[in-house]
Amino acid sequence: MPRRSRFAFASDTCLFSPVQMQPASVLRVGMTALASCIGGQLTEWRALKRDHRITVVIVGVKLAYLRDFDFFAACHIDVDAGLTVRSGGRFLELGCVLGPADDPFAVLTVLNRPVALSGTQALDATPCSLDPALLSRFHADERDDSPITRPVIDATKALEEGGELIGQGTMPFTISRGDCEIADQWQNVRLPDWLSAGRERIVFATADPRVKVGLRAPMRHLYAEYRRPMYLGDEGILATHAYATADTVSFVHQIHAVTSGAPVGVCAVAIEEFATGEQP
Amino acid sequence: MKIILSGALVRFADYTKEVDVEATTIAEGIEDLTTRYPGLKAVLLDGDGRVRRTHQLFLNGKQVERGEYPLGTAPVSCAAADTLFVLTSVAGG
Repeated sequence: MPRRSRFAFASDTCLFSPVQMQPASVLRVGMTALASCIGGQLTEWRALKRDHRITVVIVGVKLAYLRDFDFFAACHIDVDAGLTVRSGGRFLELGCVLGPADDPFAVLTVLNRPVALSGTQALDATPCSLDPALLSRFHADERDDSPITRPVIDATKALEEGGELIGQGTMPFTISRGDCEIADQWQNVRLPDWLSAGRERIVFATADPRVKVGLRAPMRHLYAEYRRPMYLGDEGILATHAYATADTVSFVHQIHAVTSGAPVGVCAVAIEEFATGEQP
Repeated sequence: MKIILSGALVRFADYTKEVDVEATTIAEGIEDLTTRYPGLKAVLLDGDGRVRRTHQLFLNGKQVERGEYPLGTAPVSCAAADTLFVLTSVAGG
């Protein structure tokens, strides 16, 4: 039986927008679940860093909202999460279900890449695989060697080829310490807030009424792929394109780092998907 | 030469992102940098004085091959107008 971490926390208004639990709130809970699962299935996270010189960084996120769930829906939120080893130790995948066990409202999947720390105070690192000793701590039913999928790539291509471009825009931003974790590297869980800001600019500035669903209705899916981190003081540009299909409006995002010394390129790509059937 | 620091390195240079150094080679520039900011030395360089594999160097936007820049060997020349960017690939925060 795969091991699970289960906990509950009191609901508060800052976790929610008028229409749903905010994606950044879900991801933040996901980080807590990740820490809990690492501790329960592998070893205490700080021991992983300190004694094994290994940690994990988020490289992919899939978030599916299964049903409507706003602040008034419950006074507490249940979380049920587990960690799976993927690709022989090259990835650790967190599966996290939010809401009552018999009627969850969101499913979050977070793909993590193990990285080997150099041992300095900067926590600089290089990608690695879990060594056999750490791998052996996972049960057989906590391993999955099926291929890793990259939903952002495929979905973006499908939207560019089959969707109708109904809006676009850019938004500059700067990484401040409040956006960062202990290495002054961006918190991956902050990404949905930047995406939201870029989407809202398009909703307010675009004449096509179909983009309004991006604020009026709850998001149905979020897919994100992290390619290169940004750090304290880095400047970035978020480029967003809105596409309509028969039953969805999707906001396709790319984050570019603006640096003066290196061709850093795309740091993250993401898609936010809304259902067009949602009424005001 | 101007050295631009990114990422987790900045706090070891007292939150200075751009440093003008006196150097005719990358090695001299890094030596000047780590002399000014001693706390940066252990973070940027390994025990043999080589730039750690977790950091990449870009001279005027072009990546410097790793074998070229261990300090004290095969120095890469640079001029006053050049810019050396030190990029931390990823941190395990």
